[in-house]
Order: sequence, then structure tokens, then C-alpha cells
Amino acid sequence: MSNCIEITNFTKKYDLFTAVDDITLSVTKGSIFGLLGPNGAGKTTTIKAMTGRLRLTAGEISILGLDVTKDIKKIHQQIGVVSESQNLYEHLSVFENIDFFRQLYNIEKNKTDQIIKTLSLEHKRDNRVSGLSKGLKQRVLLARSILHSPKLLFLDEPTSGLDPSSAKEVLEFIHKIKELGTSVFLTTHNMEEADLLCDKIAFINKGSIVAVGTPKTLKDQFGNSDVEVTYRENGHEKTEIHSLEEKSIFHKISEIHQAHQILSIHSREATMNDVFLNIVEHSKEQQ
Amino acid sequence: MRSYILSTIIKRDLKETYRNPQTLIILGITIGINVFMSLLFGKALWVMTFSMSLVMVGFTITSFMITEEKDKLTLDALLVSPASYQEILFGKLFLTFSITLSVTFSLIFSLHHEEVSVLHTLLSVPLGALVICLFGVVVGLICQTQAMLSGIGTILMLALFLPELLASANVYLGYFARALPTHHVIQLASLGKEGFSPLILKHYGVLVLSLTATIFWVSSFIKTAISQESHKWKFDRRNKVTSFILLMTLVFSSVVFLPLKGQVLQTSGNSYSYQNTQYKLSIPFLPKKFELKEFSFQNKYVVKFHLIDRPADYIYISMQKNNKGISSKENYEERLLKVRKEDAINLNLSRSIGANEVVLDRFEYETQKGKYLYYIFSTKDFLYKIGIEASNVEGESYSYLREYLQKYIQQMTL
Ligand SMILES: Nc1ncnc2c1ncn2[C@@H]1O[C@H](COP(=O)(O)OP(=O)(O)OP(=O)(O)O)[C@@H](O)[C@H]1O
Ligand SMILES: [Mg+2]
Repeated sequence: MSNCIEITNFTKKYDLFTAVDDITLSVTKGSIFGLLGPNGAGKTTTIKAMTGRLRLTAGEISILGLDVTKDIKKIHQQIGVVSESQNLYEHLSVFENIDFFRQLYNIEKNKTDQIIKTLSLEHKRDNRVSGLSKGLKQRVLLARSILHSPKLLFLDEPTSGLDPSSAKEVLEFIHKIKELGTSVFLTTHNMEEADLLCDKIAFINKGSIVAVGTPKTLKDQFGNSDVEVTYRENGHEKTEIHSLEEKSIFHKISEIHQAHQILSIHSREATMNDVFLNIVEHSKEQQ
Repeated sequence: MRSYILSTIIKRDLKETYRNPQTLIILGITIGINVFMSLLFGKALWVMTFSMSLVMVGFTITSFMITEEKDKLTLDALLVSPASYQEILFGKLFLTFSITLSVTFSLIFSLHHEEVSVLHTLLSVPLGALVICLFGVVVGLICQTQAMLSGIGTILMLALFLPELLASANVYLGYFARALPTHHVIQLASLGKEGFSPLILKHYGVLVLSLTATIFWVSSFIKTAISQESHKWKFDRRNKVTSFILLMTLVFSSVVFLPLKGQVLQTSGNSYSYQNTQYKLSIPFLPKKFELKEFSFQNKYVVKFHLIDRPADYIYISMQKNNKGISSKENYEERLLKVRKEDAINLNLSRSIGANEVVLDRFEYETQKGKYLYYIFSTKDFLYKIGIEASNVEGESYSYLREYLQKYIQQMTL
């Protein structure tokens, strides 16, 4: 089997409210998969369902070839989860937090210090978690989640609330994990990050998958690549933006060039942000 | 259940207990108040020591530890680890049960070893503590946040803890108190000298019955908790059925211990007497003049004859089993000590020989609150105190009651 996650027609209703509506997704082993979408779209709900924290209203989910409704405890032995909230034991030290889980996984004792070293937490080893910064807490959470060398890692907004340098460390860590052969399923609100990191991205909006693809295909499909021309007209600076898709674009630029003094021409590549906005706006229009 | 998982959870929870300020406060209050009362009054109420250590420690810490994991969302992390929900709860229960036993035994045996039966304390406390810790499990499961627990939990804690202490002040609280396991633990510990009499076995029976009903009750809530996913607790049919069964069991344990009431019997023509067969007592009674009220609390049974036109003034009889074989002399000396502490004035002591050659010691005195007269005596089986309390120092009811009591104390039969 080359897929570590297979979601088939999964629906989740909370009473009458449909949080996730009939989604089908698959994630290739060894890849980083990003689930993106606006607040309340159903990302966390999907992760919870995949990690056995919710009952499925309809559909099937298979993780590492095992059915979540039947073999959840077997699945738990092989996955790592970092949830949205920084749920550490505040009264325990960094070491105690990680070592508690090491004992639950029943793995060798030196693994705790090894993982503390991997995440460069040695200097905080014996500090209580309650005094750590958000970025450090996130590193402890990551350490806890990869302790038992899981085959698949779920990260729900792993960089939210972190400063750029802490976020960068987390991203580098995720890259490293992937290199070691672990598959990663993550959600994020940072589009740039998703673009850099993910092999494949799915957009979810109001519980439905609205687009799936590699960052490149999504940008090609939903992004806009423009040319931004700045020129001087009667002493004032003016800017015009033209999509690269316009057929007459070069003709227009040469018209400007003849009449005015061009100050600059920039090309603007499509970004994941555009993709996100286009998709969300698009689905609003459809409503 | 895997032992390495349980021991891991227990060790972690133990660290939480002695590092979390909230659990430390609960333990500190329980131990502190009892030790403080002992230093202050020479002796804390042993009933209070039992109720506080069982309820404050057993109930409050158990529910706190469970809700804490949900409130801080650490439960989410545990539930995607190899540990199962049952193992997590069992580990917590084991720890809080052990802490409850340690606290109760150390307080009782260090402060009250003279008053309790060692055997029955050792046997009944674990039963009662387990029931109360299990109550804590359910409340911990239902409350999703510490804010919710501090509301619901505090009310329930008081409901488990106060009736036993206040049962002497109100008949209905007595019914409530007898439904709860703490009451039976206290009874067993105090009835100690009786060995394994039918009454003792009845108390054990009720404790075991409550424990069984509670185990079913808790299992239904654990099953619901495992299948529930959202944060708000929804009671399902299972919960409702087992709650009803538990409630009926508690009502039953109260009803089977209804105190044996005395009876007012017409002895001849228009003379009546109050008779209590359990305490082998019979005393003349005027139904038109008095209103009868009976209480049982802790190990005492009290009857009050209130004057109908002046309910604050009354004659009372307090009866108690003489488990420790207290003699008339000891009984007298203990009373005397208490009276001296009350700043009594016009203290008048005398001794007479009542029916069946029983030594009657008579105490009469006044305090700022009112006038008091009572006779105390002990027999091989029972300790009795018969007296008057009249609030209005100037009033006539005191002299009326006094005459009534004096006249009839000679006719009283035991
Ligand atoms: N336990 C619950 N009961 C009822 N509704 C819920 C519950 N959990 C989530 N929802 C609703 O389901 C929808 C999806 O929530 P979810 O947490 O999956 O969104 P999300 O994509 O993770 O959002 P965010 O980016 O804000 O984390 C939301 O509208 C939310 O209000
Ligand atoms: Mg979310």
C-alpha cells in the first residue's frame, strides 16, 4: 500500500450541524500533506476523526492500512499527534512530560534524553513547562509526538502563534522528520509555509474539499500571475496591473511606453495566498 | 489493564497532587482543621474528622484530578497514546483512594484512637472511602472544566459532608445522613465494642450494597465518557437507569436505619408514658402539654418534650450505648468538667438514688443563655442524661418543668 491515509466519503455531523461533508482524500506514504482552509472549515474535525477522537457519522477512514473504528489502539502505537492546544502538564518539567509518555509507550529509557537533544531542549530539561515560551512548548510537544518513532505525524497548526524564527525551526524539524521517512499530515493558516513544505495540499471550506493538488498545480489553476507597471503621468506616479493571461498584455505595455515614462515593470508570481483567497471568494459567490 | 501503564499514570498523578496548589490546599485544609481543633479543644469532633477526610480528600481530589485533565486538554494527548480511558481513570482512582485511606487512618488513629474501634475502622473506612472516591469519578467525568467543577463539586461536597455533622439539628438531615456511606463508617467505628452484632453486620451490609450500586453507576458513566466526543455531557439511558438504582439503594440504606422510635402509651385512665424499648426507658408523659420530637445523631438518641405553648423550653432525654463501660463516676466527672467550661453560675450538685438503686447525679445551673437542670447516670448498657433547658430565665416554664421532672424522675423505670 502506498497510501498512509485513505478517507472515503467521510461525513461528521455535530447534532444537526454538518462540520465535514462527504470528503474523500488520500495521502501518499512519506509525503507532507497540508489541509488548508478558513476558520471553522473542518480541519481539526478531520484530524480528530483520523486519530480516533470522534465517531464518524458516515464514511470510512483507514490509517496505515487500519480502520479507525476498529483498530484505533493499534493505530495509536504508530502515529504521533500534536493538537491545536499546547496540552502539556504545566506542573511537570520538560523531561518529566516527555518521559511520562515514554513510559506509556514502554520504550527504552534513554530515548527521552535522546529526543530532548534532537529538539535542542537540553538547557530546559529540568525546567517546569509552565515557565516556557510558546515556541519552546511547541518543541516539547513535537518531542513528545515523535518519541516512539511514529510512521505518521498529525500536526494541527504547528506554527500558530510562533515568532518567525521559532516557526522556521518547526518547519525545519518537519522537513527532517520527512527525510527520515515519516509521513506528515498538517493544517496551517500560513499559506507561504504550506507552499514551501507540502508535497500536496487540499483546501477545505465549510466542510467540503474544494481543491486538491501540488502547490504548483494549485497556483497554476487558482493563482493569478500579474505584471505591475508603474509610470509617470503629468508628474504623478501611476500603477497598472495586468494579468499575464491577457492576450494583449505586451501591446498595452508598449502603449504606456510610448505615451509616458515607465518607472518599473514587475512580474508578480501566483502565491498560495491568492489561491486561498480565490477559493474562499469563489465559494462565497456560489452561495 | 496493563500494570506498567497504571504505574506510570499513578506516578504522574502523585507528582500532580503534591505540586498542584489546589490539591495541596484541599489536603492542607483537611489535616489543618482537624489538628487545629485538637489543639484548641483538646479534641476535634471525631465525626468531623471522618467526614472531612473521606469527603474532602476522597471526593474532591478524585473529581479534581479527572476534570483537570480535561480542562487542560491533556486528556486528548493521553487518549491518542497507548493508555486507555479505563486505565487512566483506574490509575487516578487507585491514587486518590490510597491518599484518602492514608489521611483518614492517620488522622483517626492519631487524634481519636480512644474513641473508635480499631477493627471496624480498618474494615469500614476502605469501603466508605471507595464509594466516595467513585462518586468523585462520576462528578469528575461530568464536569468539563474546573470552573464547572468548582460550582457543582462544591455543592455536592457539602451535601456529602454536612448532613452527618448537622443531623443533630434537624430530623430530615438525619434521613439524608443515613443514606450516605460516611454515616455507616462512623457508626461502625463507634459501635466497635459490639464485635459483630446484627446491627454491625447491617451497617456493613448497607456499605457493601452502596458500593455495589456505585460500581454499576460509575461503570455506566465511564462507558458513556468513552463513547462521548463533545465537551458537553449528555446523560444517556444507561446513566439514568443506574443513577435511579443508586438513588434507591441510598434511600434503602436510610430507611433500614430509621431510628427505633419510642411510643407514647396509655398506661391507665388518663395517664400516659413515653416508652423506648431499645433504650429500655419509660417516663410519664402528658400529651396535651407536650409535643414530642425524636432525633438520632452520631451514636446518640435524643427525645425532646417541648412545651406546646412555649416550644423553646423542653425536657430532653439523651440515650447512648455504653460501649466503653463508662461508670457513673466517670460520667459525672466528665459532665462537671463541661459545666465548668460554660461559665455556669449558681451551680448546684447533688446525688440521689433512683429506681433500681441507680445513682442519679443532679446538675442545676444558669448561664447567660438560660437555666439548666439535668440528671445523669449510667447503667451497664446505656448512658442517660435527662434534663431541662429553659431559655427565659425569668419565666414560669422553668419552674413548671422542674417540678414535672423532679416529681417524675422517681417514677421513671429503666
Ligand atoms: N464538539 C463540537 N460540537 C459542535 N460543533 C463543533 C464541535 N467541534 C467543532 N464544531 C464546529 O465544527 C466546525 C468545524 O470546526 P473545526 O474545529 O474542525 O474547524 P477548523 O477548520 O479546525 O477551524 P480553525 O482554523 O479555527 O481551527 C466549526 O463550525 C465548529 O464550530
Ligand atoms: Mg482547528
